[in-house]
Amino acid sequence: MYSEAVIDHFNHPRNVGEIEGADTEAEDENPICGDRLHVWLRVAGDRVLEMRWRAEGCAPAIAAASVTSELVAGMPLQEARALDRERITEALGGLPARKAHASALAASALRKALASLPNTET
Amino acid sequence: MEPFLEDSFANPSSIYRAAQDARAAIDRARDEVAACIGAAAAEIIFTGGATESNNAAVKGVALARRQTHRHAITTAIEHHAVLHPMEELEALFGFEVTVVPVGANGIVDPGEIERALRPDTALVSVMWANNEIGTIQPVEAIAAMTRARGIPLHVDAVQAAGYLTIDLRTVPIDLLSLSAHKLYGPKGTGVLYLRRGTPWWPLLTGGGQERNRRAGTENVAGIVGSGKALSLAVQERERRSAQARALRDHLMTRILDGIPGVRINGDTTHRLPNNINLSLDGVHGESLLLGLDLAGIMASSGSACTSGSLDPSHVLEALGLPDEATRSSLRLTVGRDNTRDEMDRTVDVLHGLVTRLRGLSPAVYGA
Repeated sequence: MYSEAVIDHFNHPRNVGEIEGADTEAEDENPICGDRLHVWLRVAGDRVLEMRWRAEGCAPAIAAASVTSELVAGMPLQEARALDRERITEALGGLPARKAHASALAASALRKALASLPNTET
Repeated sequence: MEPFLEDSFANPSSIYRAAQDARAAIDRARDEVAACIGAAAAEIIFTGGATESNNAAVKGVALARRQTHRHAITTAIEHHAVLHPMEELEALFGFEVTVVPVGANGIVDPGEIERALRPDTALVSVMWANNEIGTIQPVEAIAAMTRARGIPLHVDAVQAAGYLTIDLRTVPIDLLSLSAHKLYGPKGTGVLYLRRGTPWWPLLTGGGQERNRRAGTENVAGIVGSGKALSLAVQERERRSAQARALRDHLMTRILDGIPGVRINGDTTHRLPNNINLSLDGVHGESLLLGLDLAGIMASSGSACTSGSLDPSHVLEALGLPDEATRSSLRLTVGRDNTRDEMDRTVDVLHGLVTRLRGLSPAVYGA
């Protein structure tokens, strides 16, 4: 049912935890499934340096948060803002159609954190 | 079963000798099934599974009585194979259906059924034991009530058959659904008991098989397998129940003692001996199922995220559980081949998994 990447990220999630003194953070949730994701970001100049996260949810929600934290490390802000669920799903080697909400949650939590970044410029 | 899958292709309705062998095999299976539940052979109908048995029972009685009776009663925790036919009665045939709630323990109060009865009630359908939470319903009390008023009672006994005594000579049930595959028999074959004299409109019409009550050439191998599976299950019922109960209780005690933030869903006494249904704070059932499956442990959950439809379990909702508890639900059932070591290993895997998943959560969970 799940790709090797999903299972690997579920079993060995990357970058779990909080960032003390993060430049921005946000929490989002999927009301249907009750998945909850909190992301913390460290940003320098026009790049994301680091993303950390905590999640409660289904396996793909955990995997999507984990793979997103890898994708955005070192990523230009502009690109991070454009990171959509398709790209996250792709990085996970695909998701069953009814689990697409997992990538959507990771994308929306990230976007929400970036939107509340002080002095946002693009 | 094997001869009827490999060599013997005769149609049991034909005249030639090979066909008579198939007919005799069906008759033997019918006798076996009848003996298991205290019925007469003529009251046993073979079907294509419990879904068909439930559909045929609900629609068969309701449609036979529809000229004078346009009301039906069921409970909120029935299988969808009863609830959806009930919805069809409403949508297509102008029936009114009363869905009686259950208590927080997952058991229906016979008084609630009694209050719902009307002069135009065509039938009542109540399951003997629930498939998700294992709760055992007071079908004897309900049967006494429906019999006294002359209202046909259908009981879905699919989950009960392996663990509870079913004797239709003493309990006045009019229709009863059974499934072979829940008893280690073949899939795609089921049984419907239809008490003599019960109003009947056949769901399937055609060649007149099963005494005009269910048309279609018989699934000979499946029927033979059903008879065997049911009679073995009844022979071994007491031993298997005791064995399941010992393993289940060991598993449940170890989970409750070892893992904080766990609650049991459904009554703990009036319950099938093989079933546990839990909610575990702060973890999602879907993640638990994957983690357990990766460790070779098969379980299920009532969480919306594990179902194809994204609908949470209607059974857990009927108990009045909050969304979080439904999401974090886990059903573990013990089978005949399970061992005590497997129970211990399940607890260890589950404990590790729950601890790890809670550690990922934005919320803080004790210990």
